[in-house]
Amino acid sequence: MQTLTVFYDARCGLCSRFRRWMQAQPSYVTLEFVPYDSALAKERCPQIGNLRADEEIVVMSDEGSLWQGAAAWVTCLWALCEYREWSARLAHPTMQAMARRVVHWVSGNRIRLSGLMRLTPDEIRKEAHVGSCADGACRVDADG
Amino acid sequence: MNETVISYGLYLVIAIAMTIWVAKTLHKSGRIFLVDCFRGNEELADSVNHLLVVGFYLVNIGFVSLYLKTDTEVVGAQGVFEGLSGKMGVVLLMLGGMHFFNLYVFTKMRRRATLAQMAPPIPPMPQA
Repeated sequence: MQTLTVFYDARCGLCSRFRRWMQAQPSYVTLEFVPYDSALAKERCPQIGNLRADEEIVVMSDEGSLWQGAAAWVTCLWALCEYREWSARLAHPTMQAMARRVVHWVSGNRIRLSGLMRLTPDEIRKEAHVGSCADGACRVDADG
Repeated sequence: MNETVISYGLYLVIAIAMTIWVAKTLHKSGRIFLVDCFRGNEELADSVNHLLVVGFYLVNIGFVSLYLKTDTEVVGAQGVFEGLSGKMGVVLLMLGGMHFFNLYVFTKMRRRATLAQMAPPIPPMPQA
């Protein structure tokens, strides 16, 4: 895998904060962040409409493989140099059962959590639409 | 030549011989680890191996020479053995510590190399 595309919620402050955090980390593969409800997302992944990407995060490899929910989170960690070891730990079936519950709860309450933590979503932040994010997808190249 | 000088001489010979032996073992057995870390790049592995051994020699021989001087005067054959065994015990522990530290470095490098080639831990969703 050379590129991992993350279909995130640009209207959610917590998700946007997570995007910025991930972009700041050294990664094994190139990372691209596309708002799940954008035209670009439909173009890259036509089946995204059937996946309920509004409920659980979806990530896609450049070969077209898809992961959703807890598995998508694990795959995001796998892409980062500092957290690949953690992704292996979290992929264990017992950890996955717990991760699925946590991820489901966080996803369901993400707008409320963003409000509580006063996090600004990318849709409101101007910086998301300039520089590396100019064409609607935020891209960061692999370094490891 | 009094007993103190004899124990200094013996100490230097034994300590340096031990350092050479451990460094040679490290050099010989560590190579395969490093070749694996650098995905079969033997040239790079040999270079790193050599650099590690040079560092190992510098630290150990540096310690051995700093630790040479004894504060008490050595008297008789018993004094030579006692002084020598105390000194050698510390030097051997130091060598052991350095050796384990090198093993730790090797394992860490190998772990990083394994991680870099790891596939995503969870298989993707079945495609419709």
